[in-house]
Parts: sequence; structure tokens; C-alpha cells
Amino acid sequence: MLMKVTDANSALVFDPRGTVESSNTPIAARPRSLDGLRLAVLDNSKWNANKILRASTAALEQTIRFGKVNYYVKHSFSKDAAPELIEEIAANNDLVLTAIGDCGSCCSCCIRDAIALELRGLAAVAIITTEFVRETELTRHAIGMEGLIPAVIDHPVSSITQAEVEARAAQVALQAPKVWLGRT
Amino acid sequence: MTLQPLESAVSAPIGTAADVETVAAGTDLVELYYERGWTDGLPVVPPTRQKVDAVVAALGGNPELIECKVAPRWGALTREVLAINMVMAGCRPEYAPIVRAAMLALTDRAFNLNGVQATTHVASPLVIVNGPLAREIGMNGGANAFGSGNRANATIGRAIRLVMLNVGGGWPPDFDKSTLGQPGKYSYCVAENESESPFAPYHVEHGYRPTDSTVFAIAAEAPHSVTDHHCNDPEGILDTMCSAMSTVASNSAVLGGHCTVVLGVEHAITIAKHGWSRSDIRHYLWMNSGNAFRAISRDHRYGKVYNRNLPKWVKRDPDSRIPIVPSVDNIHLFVMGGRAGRFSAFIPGWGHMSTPVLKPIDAVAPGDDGCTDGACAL
Repeated sequence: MLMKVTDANSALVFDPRGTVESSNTPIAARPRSLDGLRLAVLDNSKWNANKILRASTAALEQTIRFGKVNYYVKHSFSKDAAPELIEEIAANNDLVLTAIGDCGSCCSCCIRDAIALELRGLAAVAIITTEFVRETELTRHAIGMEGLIPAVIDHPVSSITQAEVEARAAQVALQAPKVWLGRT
Repeated sequence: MTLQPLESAVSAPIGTAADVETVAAGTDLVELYYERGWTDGLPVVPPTRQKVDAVVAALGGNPELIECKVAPRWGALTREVLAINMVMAGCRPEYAPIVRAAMLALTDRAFNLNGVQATTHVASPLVIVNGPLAREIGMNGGANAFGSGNRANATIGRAIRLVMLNVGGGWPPDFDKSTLGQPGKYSYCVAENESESPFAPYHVEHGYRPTDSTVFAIAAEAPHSVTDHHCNDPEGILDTMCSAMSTVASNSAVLGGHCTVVLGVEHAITIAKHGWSRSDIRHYLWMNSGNAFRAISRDHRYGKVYNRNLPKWVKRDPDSRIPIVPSVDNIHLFVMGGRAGRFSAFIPGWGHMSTPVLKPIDAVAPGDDGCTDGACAL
């Protein structure tokens, strides 16, 4: 390593950040249509995630005939889904809808789960709230899947009424098909 | 491409040299590090080659060796980059093994640093050091242990935070989503008061020899002071601690996980005089703290919002006692502080999303003395 030597005319500035391996992997191939495909609904057990997902699924089923809808729950909203759960979802589904990213750690993990499933060939929609759009951009950049698009709904969701849940579900029903089909 | 694993590097890969830039002599380096966005808000010590090399030597040389990668940015923490952040924090080279052990603990998969960095909660890693190394470098576990005035405590904690910011990228408001933050996010590192504690130290309770040195890292709220100036027996003092623990407002109460209990020296001596052990203390606290399910659920006024986050084995009857943490062993007990003052502290954790990590400093294997509270090891 070449040693930088200071003299009376210079000083050294040391970058404290360390390097990051940068890479970018494309998202999974997009399906041509959604009818007949199997949908995995992955609930991260955060407050109201269940309600948002069930209402969103019902709203989507107004216009899409899924082949099957499979529900999954992960134990901790602030950790990545267990590898066995990811493998089980990947083996039995074609599409993913996961929620909810409405806090720092759960948003990060929702996005990581979505990326893990995209890497296994599933088109994945992670539902995040407006407060976490920037964090999502940074997370997908840090992990290396710039093409991942979330469904964004209004913040907050943890303390909202059922009527507000329905309104959020309508937002998801508008965005999710576009993400799955690659028409964003 | 695979997702970055959360576990620390097992077979020490080699990275690249840190970027070093030459600027004109007379440049205000303190201001320059501010302008680059590389500080915690306080001025840093501008590193020099000599200072960085001294810390790298204390780490064992090999400046490009990657100790671990730091979430959420997954920056490579080479020994040189660790040294740069330590110098910026104001550390002496002899603190290096502790800072390294702390970073290896934080980047252990169980700790879930990704979540701790991002959370909207106030949680920040609290690092507690045991063993002779804490004494050798002059750490404070006595009076004002959690406060300012001690270089080792202040700068080790600060170095950890600078690494989390610079290498991990945990900058507010985009990656650190903490709603309020807390002062411990500047520096949160302390030693146990082993010399004045009537009990065996924490690491001996957990199977290490007294001559080993360890770091314990837990995602923690700020300390909640526990005042008790009138009780003179274990039950009285510990009931006051239970009172502090039994709030619905801490993350521990609604999300379980682990918590820390700090006994002040006066309280610890009173309890020890009655023949209680560490295990007795932790069991009493676990048995006698908690919240009624109705207090957490608010009688389901808002729906069954916390239902799925409580353990399956807790009955959901209105008067069921919901323990603060799910197990006696999730209460981590330390003795700290000055000789005067009947104060202790309860420090809630973040919840089940993070598991604390106890790590030996520089690869000492735990002993096998088989004591539940470590007293026989002394």
C-alpha cells in the first residue's frame, strides 16, 4: 500500500465509512397476466397488518381470479422472515403481497423479505407507508435491487379505523397489479 | 447476489485500504469532518496516520482485515476503518479490543442490528464491560457510571455509535427512524462495579472466569431511575424495582424480549446481607413484576391489537399477569454506581426482535464451573 506522507503543505483526511460491495440484481420476470396465479399473503404481525392484507386481498379479488390465496405469518415484524418460511412461500406461490412497513425496522425487513422472494422468482409487493419511502429506496440500494417497487399507502396504519383500513386497501388494489405486471 | 447475512464474518476476509485524501495544510479539519457529514454532532478528533496505525497495531495489525459488516449499509469494517472511527471518537489504542468485541456482538445475527438501527423506538445498543480489562483501561462502573467524565466510557461508546453511523449508514431521519432518540445514542457504554459488588460479576454468573473480560450488548432504552430510601430488606427494595418494571409504557412490557436491571451498591449490599443470590433476585423480580392483561389490552377498546405479540402460553383473561419478559433468564442483572445513594435502575429492552449478546474479548472460551450465580468461581 502506498503510504501517503504529509509535509508542511498538506494534511490527510481519513474516510471513516468503509467500502460497500455494490451490485444490482434485476427483479424477477414479470407474469403476463394475474388470473390463475397463486398469491402468498405474508403478514409480518405488526398492528393492523392482518386487516390491511385481508382488505387488500378482498379488493384485489374484485378484478383478479387468483388460483389460490395462501396466508403466512412471520413471528417478528422486526426480523427477516425465517429462511424456511421464504422457501415454503417460494415453492407454493407465484405472487407475494406483504405488509406492513410502517416503522423503521419492519419496513426494512418487509423490503428484505420482498427481495428474498424476488430472488426466487416471485413478483413481490411490499406495502409500506408514506413515511418510509426514502428508507425503502435506501434499503433496496444497499441490498442491490434498485428495481423493487413497493405499494405506498398513507401513514399511519397502526391506530386507524376500519373505514381507514378499507381506504388503504383501495390504494393497494390500485398499485399491486401494476407492480406484479411490471407496468409501473 | 444473495442477501447480506446478518452474522459476522467467520473467516476474516480482506478488504481494501481506507480512502485517504490530501488537503492543504491549515485546513480546519474539525470543520471539514462536519462538512463531510461524518460526525455524531459533536466535533471529532481528526485522525492522523500515526494515531490510526497505533490503533491498528492494538487490534493485531493487518489493517485491511474485515472484522464484520455493519447494517443497514453493510459497510466493511476493516481494522483500519475501525481505527479511524476510534481515533475520531477520542479513544486510546488500548480500548481497541473492547470496541472490536462490541462491534462483533452488535453484528452477531441474534442482535439484529439492522432492526435496532432502523427502529422508531428509542433503543440504542448498551455495552457493559466485565473483567480485568475494564479496570486496566480505567473504565467507570462506580459513581456517575452512566454519566460523563470518564474517557474510556465516553469514547468507547462514541466509537461504537460513529461506526454505526459512518460504516452502518444509520443516519437519521432516513435510515434511523427513531421518533424521539435518546441521549444514549451519543454514547452508552459502562462497566460493572465488580470491586464493590457483594455478588459475583455478571460474566461469572454466565460461565466465565473472573479473569476473563467480556462485553455484553443489549438494545436498550435509557435507564429508568429507581428510588428507594426506606426499605431495608430484599423484598422491599425489589418491590420498588418491580414497580418500575411494571409499566405498560416500555417496549419490554408489550414486546417481551430482554431487559437490564442495575442495582446500586447500597441496595445490593442490603440484599446480599440477607443471603440472597443473583438467581434469587432475578426470580423475585420475574415473579412479582408484570401487568394485568386488561391494562395492556385496554379491555380491547381498540380491538385485539397486542394479542399476537404476546406469548401463546399467557392466558388472555383480563386479570392474567403478563410478565415483563418471558423468562427469568431474560433479566440481566448488574451492580453499578457509587457507594452513596439508594438508587437503582431499570433499563427496558427493545423487545423480542433483538437478543443480547455476551462476547469474550479476544476469544476466551467460557469456563465450565457449573455455578448458577458464579459465586463458587470467586
